[in-house]
Amino acid sequence: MSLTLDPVLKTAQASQTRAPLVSIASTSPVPPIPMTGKAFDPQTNAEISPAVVALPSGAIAMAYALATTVTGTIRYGITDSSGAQFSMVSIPAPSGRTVLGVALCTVDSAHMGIVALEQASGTYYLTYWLITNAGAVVSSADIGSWTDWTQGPTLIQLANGTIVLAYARETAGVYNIRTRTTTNFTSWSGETVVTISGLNTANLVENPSFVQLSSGALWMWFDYVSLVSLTGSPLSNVWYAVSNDNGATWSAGTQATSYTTFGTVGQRPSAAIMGAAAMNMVYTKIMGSLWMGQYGNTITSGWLASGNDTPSDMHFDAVHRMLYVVVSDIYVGTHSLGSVVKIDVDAWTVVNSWNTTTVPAFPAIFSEQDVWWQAWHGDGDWVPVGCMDEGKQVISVLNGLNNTITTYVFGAQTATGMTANVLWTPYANVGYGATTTAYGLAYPYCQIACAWIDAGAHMLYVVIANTAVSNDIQIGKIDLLDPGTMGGDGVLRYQFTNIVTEHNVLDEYNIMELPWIGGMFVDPDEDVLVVSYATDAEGGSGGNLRIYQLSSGALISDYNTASNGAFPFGGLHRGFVYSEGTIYGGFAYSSATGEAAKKGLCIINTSNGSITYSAPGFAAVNDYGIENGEVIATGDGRFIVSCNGYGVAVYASGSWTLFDNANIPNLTPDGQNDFRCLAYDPSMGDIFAGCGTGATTFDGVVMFSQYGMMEQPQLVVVTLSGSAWSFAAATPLVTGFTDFSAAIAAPASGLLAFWSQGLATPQIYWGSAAGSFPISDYLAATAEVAITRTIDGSPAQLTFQVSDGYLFDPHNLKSLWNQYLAKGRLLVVQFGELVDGTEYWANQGSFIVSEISLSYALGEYPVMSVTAHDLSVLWAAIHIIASTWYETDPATIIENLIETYTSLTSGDIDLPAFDNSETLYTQWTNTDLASAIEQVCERFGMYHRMDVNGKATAKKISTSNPVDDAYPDNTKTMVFSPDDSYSDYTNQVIVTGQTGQGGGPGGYIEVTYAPERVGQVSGSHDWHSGRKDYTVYYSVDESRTCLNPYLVRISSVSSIMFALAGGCTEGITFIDPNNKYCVVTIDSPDLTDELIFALAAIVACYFIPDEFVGIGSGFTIRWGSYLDCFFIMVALNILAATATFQYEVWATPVGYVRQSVQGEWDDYASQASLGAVCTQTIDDPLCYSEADCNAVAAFEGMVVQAQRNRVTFQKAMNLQDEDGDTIQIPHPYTGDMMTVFITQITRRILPSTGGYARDDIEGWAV
Amino acid sequence: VSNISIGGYTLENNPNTMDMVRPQKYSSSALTFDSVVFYNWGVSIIGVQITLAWTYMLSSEFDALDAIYQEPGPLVFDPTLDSGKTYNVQMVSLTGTLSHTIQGGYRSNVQMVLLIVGEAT
Repeated sequence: MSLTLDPVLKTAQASQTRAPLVSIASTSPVPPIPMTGKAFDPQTNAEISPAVVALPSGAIAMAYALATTVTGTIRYGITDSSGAQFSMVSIPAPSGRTVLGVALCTVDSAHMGIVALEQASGTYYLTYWLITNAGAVVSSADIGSWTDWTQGPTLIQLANGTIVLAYARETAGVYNIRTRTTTNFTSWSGETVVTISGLNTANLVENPSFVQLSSGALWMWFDYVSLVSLTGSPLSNVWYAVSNDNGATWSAGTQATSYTTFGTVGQRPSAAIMGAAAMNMVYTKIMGSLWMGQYGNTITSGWLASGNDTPSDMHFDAVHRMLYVVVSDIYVGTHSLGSVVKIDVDAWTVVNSWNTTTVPAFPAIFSEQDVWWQAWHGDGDWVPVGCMDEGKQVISVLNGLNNTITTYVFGAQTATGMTANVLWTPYANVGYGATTTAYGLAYPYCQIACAWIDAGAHMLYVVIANTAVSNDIQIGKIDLLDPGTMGGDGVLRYQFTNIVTEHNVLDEYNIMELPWIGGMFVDPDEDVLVVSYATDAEGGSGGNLRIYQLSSGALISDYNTASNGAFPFGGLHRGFVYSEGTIYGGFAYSSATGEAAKKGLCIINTSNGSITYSAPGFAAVNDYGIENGEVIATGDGRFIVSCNGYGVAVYASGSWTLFDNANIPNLTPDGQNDFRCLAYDPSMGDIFAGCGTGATTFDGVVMFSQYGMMEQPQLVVVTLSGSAWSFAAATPLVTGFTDFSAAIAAPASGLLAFWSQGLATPQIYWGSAAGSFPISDYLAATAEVAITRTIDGSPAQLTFQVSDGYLFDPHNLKSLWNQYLAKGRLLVVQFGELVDGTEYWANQGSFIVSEISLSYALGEYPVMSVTAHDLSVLWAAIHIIASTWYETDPATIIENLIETYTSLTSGDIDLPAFDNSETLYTQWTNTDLASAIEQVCERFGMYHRMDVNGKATAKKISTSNPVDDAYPDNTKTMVFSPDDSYSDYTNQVIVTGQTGQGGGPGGYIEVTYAPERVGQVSGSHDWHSGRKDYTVYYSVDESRTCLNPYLVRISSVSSIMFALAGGCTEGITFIDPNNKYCVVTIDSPDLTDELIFALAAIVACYFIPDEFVGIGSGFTIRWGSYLDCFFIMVALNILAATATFQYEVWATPVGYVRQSVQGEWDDYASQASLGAVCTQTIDDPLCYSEADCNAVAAFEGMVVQAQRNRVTFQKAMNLQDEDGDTIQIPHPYTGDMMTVFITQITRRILPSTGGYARDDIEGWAV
Repeated sequence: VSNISIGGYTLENNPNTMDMVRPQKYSSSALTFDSVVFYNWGVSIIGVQITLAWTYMLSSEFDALDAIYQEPGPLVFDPTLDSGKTYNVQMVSLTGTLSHTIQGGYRSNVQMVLLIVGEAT
């Protein structure tokens, strides 16, 4: 269906006289506030104290200070009247003076004025510079100097032309704001003390800033300290006073912010007039820390935790700037999972959280078993969480970006109905005689001790401990991108690959305590795997720290007390770090002989084997709580250490810096210093620390800066309502928490802000709340604007060129326009017509900038070429690790995919009904979003597209669609050509599918495979064993189905006595009706009675007298002895009737396979004319029946035929027509009407002399 | 008639000839199989080039204009029209000929081309 246009615009499309219009507007794809900020005029030194003025001409001027310690410099710049690009100059301060602050104002249409506050040798100086607009210094001199503490300055040119300078100054303990005035910027009045009632002049007042309303009212903003803590922290708030006589007298001070604790205060206000009845005020919010979690009855929105839940593991995803926090009950009872929380560290809000009831959810077992703490190391957007209880071998891995949870079950969990899905061989099964158990493992006491993810290699490393059968360690890995192998039982199974296997190398104390206090560290860059087998137990030989080669599992070194007396006896606790060959970690303090001196941080140099200790200087104790904390590397040679009970410390080359509630006000809301897990943001220098005691105190995560207090400019919208001013709630002006001293102005484009970012060496950043920017005003007249839309699923493409390319160059940091065509910027395009002086518009879509190119060459004008695509261009870059399982109609699937993996919501999606829609049964793994959606669309002869209104939709590809638009004559068509270059000779299409694909209708069919060994039984059988039954499952996880089991005797039960007693029987006596196991029975005679008889006979034989036979010399027949010997022999044979046996159980495995189905389309006419059958074969996983295959084959056949009837032509632009429409045009020669299905349309407008506005169409003549 | 000013410099002598300062109409057409489509892109003063020509000019005045020519611009051009409108322009070219036949510092056949980039007032 063609687009619906305004009636006037529609009529204009039929005219031979056209006046086309083009509009391209650049907008931010996200709200412009809070501002992310862009670098500006980068210099080497710290850049502070920005000031900005919007001039009446449209130009914008700004200045800031370079805070060098020798001689400071003022950087000044101004744009032309377009407000686009700054030309910067440097104005040096007088020799030897450090610039503390800069103020800027207009003087006249050709001149600007700058006043700087400087300091040298304890003296403060106020110096003015009168400069031309371009920055040439006309005049400069000191206004005054003194040794009193001074702060500021600020400037304003009043409506009457008077320029007012203000600054804060303290004299003899009295703090005031003071002013001076001038009209020519060279002659200054004396100093006037501003009197503002309501302030205590003994308290600090500073940072004055002016704005003047059109009414003439002069507002002065400032900050005022009402209280100072015992440790010197100020409680400051933003205040204002108003003068209606150009600053001669002032109203009483009014408090504008209402901070009441030393932990969060407001300072450094700046304001800009936004009309007669509104102004924007910004100030710097200064915080000791940010926190979230649960504190009393206060629970952060989205924080899914309760009771004693406390952060137990965390890591920072630097790419997406997200903090992942595992929250579990680490203090009382079962240490089960509370949730995993994903936090946007820039907005400091919970983005998402997962527990056992969310969608997706962690398995219920995590609510019942121990998760423990600091055992699960995440990386990137992956978060592992495991159960470490005996026999509960389950690890779930959350992908926080794709919102998926994959669970790896090492041993079947019958209680919770979890089938084992890890393909591995438990090490204890190999040669140590263990038998299969109900858990499917070698022994139910196998424990998953800890796990580690390397996001770069998408690898999950797992350490498994087993002490019950033998002291075994098994370390291996699972590829997180392994899509799994589907078993015959419909269970996806994942491969576990061994790295290290050790049997009885370490003693049971090492292995037993590994899951509770030991730990691991993986450094893939150095090919190192470190495992700490710590033990605090009294027995055993102490802890071991073993370093393996990650790639081979080879043991590199083993540290323990026996080999190195400097090693702490119990070994390192979990939470240690390996960094460039050195290991840093905590351990349990021991007062035992030889151990008492080992305190603080243990440092092991693996290159020379030396072991040293560094005890923090902030306390003289034995235990610094490091063994219950964590050590992480900052990457610059420093280490962050959580000292549980003391705070968070930074260790660097022997020196310690502690952050606690004493030196950071309100570091935690309840003042506790109990920190455990840690994470670090190296780009901002922010530290994240898990905190809590699991009691009624604060349990959550805090974020604070290693540089001290965190700072973030806030925006307050102030509006006049009647005669009263109202203040909206403060909202963040910028993202991030190392930003301060924002200065704002309000040019015509909207709010403009400059501020300092970075607490170590701050740099000036800027941001703009400018709304839509008219790119079309800068379109190059020599290049067309073209939009191409096609049915092949590619995103629509927009191309154009703009003049002033240097202003749009993202690398031109002095241009405020460098944002408008930056990659990812949203462009909203409209085409239209000018009809009788009125503009009529039609949407042409929303695009995001994909590519820009600009050539700077001498003699060439810098024109920038821009290519943009609709939002679906991102879909090809969105990776689906594993989607949810779908069993629904195609439109619902596509909508869910889009909503899950993009920021689009249901309101942004407008899918039509799919012809012949039917339920699909599918899941996507390891693919991209575009491919998944395209697969669904093609199954039903559709293609996906973003429409002209920016909505995700789909259209039907068919040569049978009704005609949308008809052209009765050739007054619009310009060029025409048949073009079958895309066609081939295909005249047969065969589509194959499978019943039961992905669980779809049709199901599986049962098949059997060749018999194979499915189990074995071995052991021994004694003279009194009698009958014994042995249950043999056909697989370790007891899930395999087999038929017709039979026994293969490797070694049978046999002995003389068994044979004499009637013989043994051995065989399968029972077969499970569900064909999961069989029972092997061995039945031998019980020879107990025979033995008793023989023993009795032996005794009886002693009573049989000898018989003397008197023949010849005579001889004695010892009947008793003879019989005694006989019965002794019988008894011994019975006792010796112990036979070993070994049987193999063989059976016919049962599998389930899908049945192939096939559909076919034939172009018999083509086959006959060519004398050949040219076949195209397609395998469609979404076809479950022959009818499905036939439908897809028919569609593909239609496309094949249509490609042979392809035509291309040009016609005058008609804004009604779009891709997927069916239109009619006359054949240019015969005049016969042709129906054309539009497969591609490129709408081109070149709005200049020699230009055009036309549609280039490719289509199928039908 | 007051003298023309360019970039804050008022000419001592107005040019002998100067193009009219008027908007230019932009249009194009395309032949179709049965007709023609006419595209009217509207009129605009932006992009119009104005040529000012002097038979002779004092070399000092030429030097003053040449200094302006060297600047990156844009300049405010006041053609002293009845409408009172002034324009932002770029000085595209400034050419002239050294004349040795006339005593004193003169330039002959001076021609200046201004490109209007917008209306100033």
